[in-house]
Amino acid sequence: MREYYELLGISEEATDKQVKDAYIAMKNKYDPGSYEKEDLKQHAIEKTEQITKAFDEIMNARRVDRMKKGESVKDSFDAENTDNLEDRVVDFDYIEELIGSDDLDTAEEILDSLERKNRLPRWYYLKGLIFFKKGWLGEATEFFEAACRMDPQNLIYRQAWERAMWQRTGHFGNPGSESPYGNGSRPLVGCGVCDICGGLLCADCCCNCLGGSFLRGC
Amino acid sequence: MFGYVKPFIPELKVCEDEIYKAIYCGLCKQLGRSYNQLSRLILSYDIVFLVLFALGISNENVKFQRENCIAHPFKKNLCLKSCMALEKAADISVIFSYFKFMDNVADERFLKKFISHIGLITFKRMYEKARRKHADIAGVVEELMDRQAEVEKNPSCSLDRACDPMARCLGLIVQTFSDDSKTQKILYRIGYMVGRYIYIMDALDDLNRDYKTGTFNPFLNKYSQNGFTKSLKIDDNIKEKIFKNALCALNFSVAQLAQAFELLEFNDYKSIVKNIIYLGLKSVEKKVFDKYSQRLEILEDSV
Repeated sequence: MREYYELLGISEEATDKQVKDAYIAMKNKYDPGSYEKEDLKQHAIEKTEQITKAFDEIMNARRVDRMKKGESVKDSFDAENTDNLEDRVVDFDYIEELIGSDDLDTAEEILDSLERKNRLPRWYYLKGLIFFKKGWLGEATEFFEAACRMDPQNLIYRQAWERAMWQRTGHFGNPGSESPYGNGSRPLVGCGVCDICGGLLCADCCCNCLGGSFLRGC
Repeated sequence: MFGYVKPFIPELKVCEDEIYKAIYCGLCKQLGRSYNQLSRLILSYDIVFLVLFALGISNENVKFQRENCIAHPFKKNLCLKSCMALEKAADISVIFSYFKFMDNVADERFLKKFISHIGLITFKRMYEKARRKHADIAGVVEELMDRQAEVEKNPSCSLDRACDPMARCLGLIVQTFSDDSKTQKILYRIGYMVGRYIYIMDALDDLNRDYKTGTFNPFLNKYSQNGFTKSLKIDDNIKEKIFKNALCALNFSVAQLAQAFELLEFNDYKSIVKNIIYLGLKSVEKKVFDKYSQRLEILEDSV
């Protein structure tokens, strides 16, 4: 982390606003558009990429820290603009992003560090999602169920829970779908009364059922 | 290993059945070639499943040939000739068996302990040979043993947590069948779910024994106080709960395994593997449950 701060030329104690200012200043300085020569331009592009990465890493790390403390996740320069310091919503989107990129440990760490009052239905859903990805299917089902109970209207929670229940009861795939292999104990093609009648009718239409026509006039 | 992962033979085509048996034969002979005749005793269906996977993912060219065998002296059976997948599977078998013996020496009593001791001594050389070839896999299995011991110390450990070491271990092993990172991810999931399945089945199979001897079992653990399974009385209510819990966990694992498998680009033997996943695992499941419903009744009478 320190090298990112060094790259931007600031100390680790700098405020969010200072970080942002430093980033913008550096970005302007190395703007690839202001270079004519091709090799210099390439160098500038690389430099810009490094700076952007450093800025993202720093801001993300700070966001995670804040979330762990249960503070507002909004970056303070945003907060200054909106003057909305009361906004203490946890950034579940960011956690979901972490889960999506398979960084399960960090995501779980953040979720576990949240206080009880912040444990909304989404908290339970995400917790279930982490367990599901880890392969801990039993715990995943419990958390999906909890999310569903707390917010019965939410379709995503409901879907996750229903799919789990469907598969737990011995089915495959999504609720309502057939097993791709067919059911071993049941023949794949049925032959009921309707099938027999249909077959006879067909045979009768085609060749008078080998002479034994049973539909008059056909 | 344990032999829970096998196909549902009545639904296999005749040619598929023959290929499956040929791979089984091939693995047996490979064990004899790579190690010694004694090692052929550790042959298991679970490892055959791994061979199927290794063959399905790699594009290795394999040959079958009719050969004689000690078990069938007068009939020539189709047999898979030596190949990379078989060699690796034989090594994995040896590594697993060695640790299984080690585990048994620690857990079992009397005759079984004695047999395991002998097994441990005879397999030590073979294990070292296998470890030289596959240090990564030996490391993974070694880690499994440590983590399993750690988990079993915790009296209030959940089923998921108890399954995790075994599942992770198989996940990491199956993952080594491919070099592509995307395929590896799918393979890990598949291995994880197979490991989970095997662990749960094994725990169910050992339920009776663990109940008597008071050793760790994730199903009994949940219903006993302070981890002492001996003080536990199994009544109808608990029995039903254990069954329901186990069945749901098994079903969910198999469904997840199937979901991951459908994502995989699989060349040959897909129909055999599909048979194992969609039908074979369920039929083995049913057998254990049937056996159990009788056994638990006996258990109840004795209490």
